[in-house]
Amino acid sequence: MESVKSPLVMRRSIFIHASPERVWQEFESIDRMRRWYAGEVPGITQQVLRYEPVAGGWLEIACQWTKGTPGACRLGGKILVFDPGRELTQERHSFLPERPWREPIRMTFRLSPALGGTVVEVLEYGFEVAGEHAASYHLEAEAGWTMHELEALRRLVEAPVMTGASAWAAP
Amino acid sequence: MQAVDTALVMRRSIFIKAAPERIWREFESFERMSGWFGGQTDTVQQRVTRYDAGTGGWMEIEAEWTHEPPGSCRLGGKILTFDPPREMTVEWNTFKPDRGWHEPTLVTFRLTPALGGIVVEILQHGFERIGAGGAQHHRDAEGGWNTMELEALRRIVEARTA
Repeated sequence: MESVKSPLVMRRSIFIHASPERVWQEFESIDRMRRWYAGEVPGITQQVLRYEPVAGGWLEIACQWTKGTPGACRLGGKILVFDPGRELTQERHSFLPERPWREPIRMTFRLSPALGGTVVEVLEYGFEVAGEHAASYHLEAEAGWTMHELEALRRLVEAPVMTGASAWAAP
Repeated sequence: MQAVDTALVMRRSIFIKAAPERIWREFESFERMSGWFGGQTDTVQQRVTRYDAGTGGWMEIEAEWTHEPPGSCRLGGKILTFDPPREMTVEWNTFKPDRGWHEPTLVTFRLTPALGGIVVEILQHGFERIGAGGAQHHRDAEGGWNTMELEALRRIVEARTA
């Protein structure tokens, strides 16, 4: 991961009782990715639109929500780092809603061995490209990210017999 | 702050447009601390029950929630580091419903200059000290912490000049 010099970072993390290699299998194809990075909870639907798992590839998602003011998002961009068992870093443009700035932020999934398992972190950073909007964009990320995706990834990896399109809805 | 050399950490953060000294005032007394670290959402009510600011002091909170199943907890411990206006690290033990971990986790509040203001971070770490249940408690921490306290701190600091 390129070194993050700014503290203006959003971070979520989860411990998964499995090796980084096992966790990484869920990053290896769009079908795998859709099992945990897409899903449905009351009020929010998220889809993986495009995923080319390779450096120089692409990751793009779409979401719709009906809670509060209904809305939609389309986020994604080029994969800058694809380092199996360790890291996926992408550019993250906001195609929807459109932002007044054009530069993408960054998002990283990082896998680190710990306690005989793996800690998976999601980091969003590089909000400085938004200029005067950097702080509010960062707060949107901090307040908006939930544990749905990481919890779904954990359930999938720790209970490999589970099948179906999504692990989001499980308790 | 003791070096955090593990990824088993919970982190939340916020940007506040103010000097670190101004933000630190909200860490200086029980009344100030209660003003932002206590609060409520639709389902959770949290209050600061004890706060003796200073190294060797004490911070303790009580939280009650109404979502299923309803319950309450008491959390906190000794203040290990009180370094105005940079860092406060508190032992974070659970007194209810558990009777306390043999080794408590740690909660660090850290103020770092950025973009002409300050990023305030809350970090919960030291889960390895609990032993076998450490991973589960990290999971509870990631599922439990939101940005309620940090957003209240930002509102107070950006609204008042005192």
